[in-house]
Amino acid sequence: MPPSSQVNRLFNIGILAAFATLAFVGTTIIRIPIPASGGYFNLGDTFVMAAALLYGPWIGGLVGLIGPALADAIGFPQFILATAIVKGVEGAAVGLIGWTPRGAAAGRVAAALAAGILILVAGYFVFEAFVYPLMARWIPFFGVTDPTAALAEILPNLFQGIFSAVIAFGIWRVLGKKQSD
Amino acid sequence: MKWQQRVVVLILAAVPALSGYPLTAAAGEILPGLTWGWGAYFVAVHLLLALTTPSRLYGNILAASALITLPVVFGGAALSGLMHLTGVGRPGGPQAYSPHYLALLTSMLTVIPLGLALVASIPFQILEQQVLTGENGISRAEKNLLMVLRVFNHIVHDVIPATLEVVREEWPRAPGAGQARRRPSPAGLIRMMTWLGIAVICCAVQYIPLWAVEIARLPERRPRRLQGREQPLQHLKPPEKHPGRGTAACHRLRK
Repeated sequence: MPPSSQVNRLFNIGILAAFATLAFVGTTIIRIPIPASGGYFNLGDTFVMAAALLYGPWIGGLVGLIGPALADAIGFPQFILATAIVKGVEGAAVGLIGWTPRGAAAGRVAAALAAGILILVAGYFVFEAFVYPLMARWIPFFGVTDPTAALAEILPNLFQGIFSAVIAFGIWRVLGKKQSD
Repeated sequence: MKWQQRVVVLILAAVPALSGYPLTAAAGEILPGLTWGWGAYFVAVHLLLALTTPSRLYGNILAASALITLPVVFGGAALSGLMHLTGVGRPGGPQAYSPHYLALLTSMLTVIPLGLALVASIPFQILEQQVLTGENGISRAEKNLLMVLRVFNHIVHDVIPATLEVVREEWPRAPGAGQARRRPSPAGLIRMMTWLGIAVICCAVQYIPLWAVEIARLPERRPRRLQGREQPLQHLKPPEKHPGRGTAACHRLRK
């Protein structure tokens, strides 16, 4: 028999690859434009949050870092940096708060998802209102947003976060329970 | 052209889109929103794709790019127009938002085909075979790569096509749906999306525990000084999938 540490490592890599691919696909296929900011609404967050709730902060953080950022490379390359950092932190935070090896309580999971939504909304706002305009002074490539557009994106991002969190909660209710059994 | 060369060429071609240079240097406009830089880049990328990609694949790439791009661009423009008509849109009306959507259309119809061609250029199955048929065993990094390739292949070739088929057949308002057309309620939509998410995750991860054991069992690469002293390793074939080992949700998805 192969050593269990090696099997575990390969299992985690497989899970990471699966959820990163699903987050990539979820972000790429379902894109609903947000006129006010020029950004778009997507469901990639569902898989980031679900990965974090089912497999913990490391997997959640890495899925957030890789999957949605790869999707931004297709069509919205300016947002890769913001997406990788915001969604990576979001996945890690949801996993840190809402994941325990023996299965977390529903209240804790809901709190984790609320934290994830908050990080999503606040993270993009900070990047679009302050970080990108500052970076655009030296690198014009990042001159795609300003504080007005960032304000206009708060509501769609909030809606995206809530919608994704509700679906991720449903996924956790079914698959998380099965895992802990 | 070998696939490795094609991948290198396409990665080099993607550098301007990912870095912004030298596109931002040619900022003069052909039309409001369409700069000379992006116009020339669009033409150059499609010329390159037409020369380096088989024509049938290029056609498929163009069709997929249009399917991804058009809803975003035209949906966004239509929403902006509606918002303008109702008085809540950007000040300035179409003059203000049209250049943005033209720029978005150009960049998406340039970058998406390039990305799709890049992914399509990598022969994942051949890579997997090459890793598996190494005569001196498999290194740890190659085992990790093997797992990633296998999962990616499975999702792209099995899970997503099956999901799209189910969505097309089961979506409540689809014209060809087997059930009566009805307008889904918000709760029904969330329920359906949740079910779809569960089914997709189950399908995507169902073989991973099995693959982890199988790949871990593959012989480790031996140090150079010991290579060749024992029998060469048997050439290994990728394992068959096990149709009986799925979850109920996945079977339903396949059905």
